[in-house]
Amino acid sequence: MTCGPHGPGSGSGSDAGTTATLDHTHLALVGSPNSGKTTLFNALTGLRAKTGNYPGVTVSRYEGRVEVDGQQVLLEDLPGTYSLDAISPDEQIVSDVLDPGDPTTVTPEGLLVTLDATTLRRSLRMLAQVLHTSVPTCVVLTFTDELYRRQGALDVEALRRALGVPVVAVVGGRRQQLGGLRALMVRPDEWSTPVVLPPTDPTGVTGWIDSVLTSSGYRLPVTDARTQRIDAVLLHPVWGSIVFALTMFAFFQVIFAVAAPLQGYIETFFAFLGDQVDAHVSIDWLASFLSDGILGGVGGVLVFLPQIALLFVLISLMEGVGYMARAAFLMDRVMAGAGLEGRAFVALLSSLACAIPGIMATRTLPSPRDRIATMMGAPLMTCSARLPVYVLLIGLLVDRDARFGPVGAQGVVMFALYLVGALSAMASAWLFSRIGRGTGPLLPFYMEMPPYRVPSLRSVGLAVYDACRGFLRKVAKIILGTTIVLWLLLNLPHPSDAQLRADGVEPSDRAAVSTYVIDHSAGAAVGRFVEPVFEPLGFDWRINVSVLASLSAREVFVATLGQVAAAENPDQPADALEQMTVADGPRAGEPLFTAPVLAALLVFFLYALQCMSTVGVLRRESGSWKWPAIAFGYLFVVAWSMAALTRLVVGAFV
Amino acid sequence: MSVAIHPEPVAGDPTAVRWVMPAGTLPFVGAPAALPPELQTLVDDGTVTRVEVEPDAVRVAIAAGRSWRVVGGRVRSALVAALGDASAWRGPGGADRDDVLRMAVEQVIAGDVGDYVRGHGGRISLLDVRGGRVEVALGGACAHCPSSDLTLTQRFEVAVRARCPDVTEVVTRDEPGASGETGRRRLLPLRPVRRSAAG
Repeated sequence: MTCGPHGPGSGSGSDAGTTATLDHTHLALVGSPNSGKTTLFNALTGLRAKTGNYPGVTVSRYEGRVEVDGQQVLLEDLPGTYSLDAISPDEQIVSDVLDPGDPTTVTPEGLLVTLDATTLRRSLRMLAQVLHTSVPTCVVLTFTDELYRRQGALDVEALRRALGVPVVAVVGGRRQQLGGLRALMVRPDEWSTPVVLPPTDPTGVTGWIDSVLTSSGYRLPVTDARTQRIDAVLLHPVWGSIVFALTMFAFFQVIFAVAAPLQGYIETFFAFLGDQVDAHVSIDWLASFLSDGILGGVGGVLVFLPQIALLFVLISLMEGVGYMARAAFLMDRVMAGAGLEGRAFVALLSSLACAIPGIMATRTLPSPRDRIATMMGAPLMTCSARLPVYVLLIGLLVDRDARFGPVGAQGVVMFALYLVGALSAMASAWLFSRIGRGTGPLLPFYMEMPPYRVPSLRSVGLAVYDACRGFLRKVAKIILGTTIVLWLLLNLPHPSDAQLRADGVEPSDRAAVSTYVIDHSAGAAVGRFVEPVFEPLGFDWRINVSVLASLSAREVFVATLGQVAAAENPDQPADALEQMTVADGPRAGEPLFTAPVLAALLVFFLYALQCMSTVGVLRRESGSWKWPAIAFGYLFVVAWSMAALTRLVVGAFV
Repeated sequence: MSVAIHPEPVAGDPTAVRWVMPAGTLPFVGAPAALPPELQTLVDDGTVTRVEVEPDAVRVAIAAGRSWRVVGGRVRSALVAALGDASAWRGPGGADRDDVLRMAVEQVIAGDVGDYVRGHGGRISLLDVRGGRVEVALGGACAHCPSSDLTLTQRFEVAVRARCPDVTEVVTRDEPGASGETGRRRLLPLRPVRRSAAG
């Protein structure tokens, strides 16, 4: 994701295209998505990948080092691709790298091509193209275990003879099988090459593939009977959709029911820390900085760690079991009906974790207009950064014990927010693709339905660990930084005792003073300055400041409110929000967080593009400031209008 | 539909390539008496020096000094066109279809299946081929081994059929000179003969 310098493999600069001067062997991994390419890369390099970018474009570049008998091999993981025809940016990179005549990229000395044994007929088509690059090639056959388990057959030795290149079978990156491959990796110049290259015309290639597969005794795997029976229900247009809705519904119930107690422990811990600060820090401003700024702000966000962890446990379980692909397939039918292609939904689905990988996933879309359309919709999917905001606001809006029949009302509201977010994302993507393209034909879309498997604990653990680490880093960098700036804004200028007395505040009354300071701070001035804009939504300056601050990261909204609350009611910051009253204007003194205002806030966060990282990625991926500006503008307008509408509607009912 | 072929190198002979084709495409083996015009052109201009037909492949040799990387595409196109019409080929004089089967059996015995048998201390040798009927002798460890039945049906017969669909029956006899003349005779279930839809 970062714009780092590209790795040593492309450091040879002017003499790009030759790597003879380098002291290591340079190999690249080529393969279709889901062919086990990245698993193999991780197994070979031991997860020590270095990321960077390809020159001029934003497709990320992964490379790692493998040591074989004291010799260094540099392994580059190329983006997954189904062909070298270069219809999407990802495929363009692969064909550039494999083209020795392309001056911007260094062509590797050898290629490891991963072929999924269960889909050989399709994969061999790409191999035929790869062989024509005349770069030494070694085939790595993956998923042979699954082929045999599903009663398929393949004679690896005969395949090697027929292809004329080395063929190694490797299952799931198991270490003992990697030995043979590692030994091969050192000397790509000694690999056997085909005596005659495969044909290039489509009919000829089909004949070549037929002949190669027949002579290697290839028998197609039968569809897993268990998978077939489960799919009969789960992919059914009616039952499947019902199961999908129920699954998602249960998903959000679990997030609330299971995470709440854990959250309680973290809250208690921060309360304890706050007491320690009060007891041991005697300097007033430092105590305020530590307990209001750091603990109130950062602590307020860290409380949501259990929810983030749980969200990713559930997502990676669904992915590992194989349900995610089914969900995408179900939705693909809906999307296709609206004229948008299935790849777009996959990109939207990845945005559930964070819009940034979602926007980057649009690179698989061949049509630039569809890409833009999907990018415009992706920020509407409920990302994990919205989770703390939603949980906080729903906690204020809906009583924890409120129930709709057997289910908790909080989970229902959360589910509704995710649902509306997803529907809005699709609607917006559909709208933008309509504007841009009219009704053109859709390109074919492959989606593989993996057989149902018991997910490996390791991969679930890894996904959750990555997510939690990412969250903590965000807290440590962006949120901590913004919190400190906000603390300064909310505590400066500091009035003199005389000024306090003049305004009727007793300087020895700490609570009164801090309320006074925050109310007359620079931050408050900013909040009041934008008040006219947010007044129709029922926001006062404190919410305004929080909304503005949340542009750095949505979680900062929670952190800012936490700071304000901690300053105004140091004894019970948790209750402070509920008791907060409108500071000025005609409604002064009335409770601030009423149901209509809370609902308006939720809806505002549902639509608004409160995330500068996303804006930055939009700029990088679309190549200009035009689209990020449009996205920010239209989402703000929609957010504001929908929030105003929500406030009116909810206000009418309450 | 055109005939599906792919090239495989020939060990020890860089001028030759085995173009593997579906078994049964041509009804003979050996050096053809007459080649279809597409291939004959290549022989005439000195590119191809030798053409030999095997049960499931055509072995083509090119002139020394020529490179397969260069002429491979032309040879492929010529072969695909030539194999599309089996009637344009003429086999060597006096050859019949049993010769195809005989060569298929020899290749199987020299290849993977023979290696498997030899690896287990057995011996397999061809005695006779007549009218689609193959007679082999099993010796060594195979002689009284109960699983030699399985080897014969699951491995040997499958491999022969893959190279030549003409096989109708595989029969074993004890090796000549061994005691007893009572051969074990197996009638194998006949499967539909696979034929490529040439033309």
